[in-house]
Amino acid sequence: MIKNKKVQEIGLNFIISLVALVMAIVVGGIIIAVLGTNPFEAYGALLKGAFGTPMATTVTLTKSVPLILTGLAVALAFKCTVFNIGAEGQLLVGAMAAAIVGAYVELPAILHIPLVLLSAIVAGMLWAFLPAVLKQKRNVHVVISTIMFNYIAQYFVQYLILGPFKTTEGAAAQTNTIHQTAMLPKLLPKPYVLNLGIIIAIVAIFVVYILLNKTSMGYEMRAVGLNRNAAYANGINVDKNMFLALLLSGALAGLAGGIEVTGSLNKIVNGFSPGYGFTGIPVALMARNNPFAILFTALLMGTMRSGSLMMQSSVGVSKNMVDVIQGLIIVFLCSEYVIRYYIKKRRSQGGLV
Amino acid sequence: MIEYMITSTLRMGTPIALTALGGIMSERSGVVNIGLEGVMLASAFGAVVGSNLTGSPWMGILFAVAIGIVISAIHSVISVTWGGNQSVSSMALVLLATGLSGVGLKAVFNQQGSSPQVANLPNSPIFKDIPVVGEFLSSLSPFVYIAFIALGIVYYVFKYTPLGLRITTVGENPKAAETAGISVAKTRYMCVICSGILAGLGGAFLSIGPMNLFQEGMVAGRGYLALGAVTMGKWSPLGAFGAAMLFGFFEAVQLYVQTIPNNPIPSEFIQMIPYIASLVIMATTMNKSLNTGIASSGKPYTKFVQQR
Repeated sequence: MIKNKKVQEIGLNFIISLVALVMAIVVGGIIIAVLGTNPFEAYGALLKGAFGTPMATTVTLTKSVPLILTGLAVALAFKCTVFNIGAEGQLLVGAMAAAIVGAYVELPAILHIPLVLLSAIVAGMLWAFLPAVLKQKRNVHVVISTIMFNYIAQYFVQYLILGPFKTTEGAAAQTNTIHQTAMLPKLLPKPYVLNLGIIIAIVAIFVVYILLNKTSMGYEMRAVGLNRNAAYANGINVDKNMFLALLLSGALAGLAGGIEVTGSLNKIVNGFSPGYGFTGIPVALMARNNPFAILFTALLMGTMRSGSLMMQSSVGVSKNMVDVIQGLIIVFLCSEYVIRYYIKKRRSQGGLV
Repeated sequence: MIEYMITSTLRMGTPIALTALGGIMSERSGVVNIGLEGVMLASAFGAVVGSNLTGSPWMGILFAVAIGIVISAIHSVISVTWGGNQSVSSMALVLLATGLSGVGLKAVFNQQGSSPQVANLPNSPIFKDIPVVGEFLSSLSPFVYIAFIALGIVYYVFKYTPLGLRITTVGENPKAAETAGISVAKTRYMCVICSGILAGLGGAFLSIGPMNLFQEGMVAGRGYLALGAVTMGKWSPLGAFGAAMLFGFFEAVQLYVQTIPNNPIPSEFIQMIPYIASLVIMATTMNKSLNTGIASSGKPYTKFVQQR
């Protein structure tokens, strides 16, 4: 019976996400049509851009990797009712740390890669630590403080790229290329781009799942998320758990930055992140914070990002249309209670669903 | 120097202050509206489109306000009628506004990154003939006066009118409000839409106030700063307005420091000033025991969500 209910709940979540996706695509299509383009052509171009060639497919997969991790970051915090909008900033400093350790430390690959990724994780964690402290000690709203830290990270990284860590190999606004020993191994022969990062991201999914569902730490976090007062009454330290959730979330976002540097970019160029951290929010929301579902929603958002350039160049619809569609997905996801209400109503009237 | 700082503070503080007043309207009725950043962005774009189409910056303001109403109406449907998570819905607004202004730039002007230059709002020449202060007053944008008028109205509404009391009741205890015959949904819709109008004015100031074009990302967190101002001002119109002007002052300082020749501080650190200052001020003024805010803030009140 309990099992049955769980399956039902997963099915319901799936329906809600699907409804939101379809509605967003339809409304997005209407906007495209109003602008004077055939929406089918536009979406066709988007898909072609994302999966048209084997090369494009590997690019799409690679672009989805940071989204898996930022999605996990947002979802993990959400499970404990912490809304971490700061994943973008945490990703930026994580990437920066990876670029520095990758380029200025010399070690054999077997040690170098873990060290680089670890430094990215620590940097991301540190960037989440400050808002977490501000919340716990001074009750500063996490949403506002993490947003502020995004801006601070953006300027800080820009300073490091243009200042102390500016490349010595040329005049471009970027860091030195990291050492060969710090680069993640490629999974496919050149020119395909897929690298070990996707495996790490999938492992991270399992780790987060186990952490949340099979450990007492995760149990406490979820308890806080489900009912703060009940958790408190049962002796769970609410503040401590929210603090931890934000730190772990920062760690995952930092790892996303580290993988982007070691796997794809191999250096940091000013403005390298196309908003991976922010896109993590729709990724997590659409997956209903389920770690395994994040794999698919990240791929979906990665597809949109990856195909949007083709859409822009071939049918002339701005690549920003993707932001509109993602915004619409969130809008329609917020109708969750409405969908639940009507399904419940139908059930109680003896209907099927 | 002092006059320069005052003018500059007013110029930088006005859009934040207008938006903060919007935040007050929405939050006092119990609806969190982090999406004001998005409203500002979309309205800044709308103002440029309006000014470009009609040639009149005043029509630009009207466009901006209209867009502010539309975007905040979406937020009120989600948060008031559907009972969705208000912080999350706000993020949707920011994404939507970012996307729509980018798509609009391409569709209306066939450009990327920024719009062409349009007619902007002149300063306030009507005050020119006043002795002594006339020159100073006429050098300010009309938006500055609009902001002060808005402050007067919002302050008056909350302090002296039954409407203000109703809004406060809805925000603090919607159930009690409903029992007293006040429509929670109507009040919240009205307040969120008012916040959209005010943030729309704030956004219009950014694009057709001292500037005369729209740039992607030109809001740069001012909508979030405005919300910080609301919290810091402890949800009072005067407090929030003052806090917003304080942020304006820090932005003015940042601009001033950048103009100092041979200044040893890297410009990136100077650009961080407003954000760091807001965090520091929030950290020093907030207190865990006090300052609980609006009791029913962020809690949906609709038939779709079970009431606890």
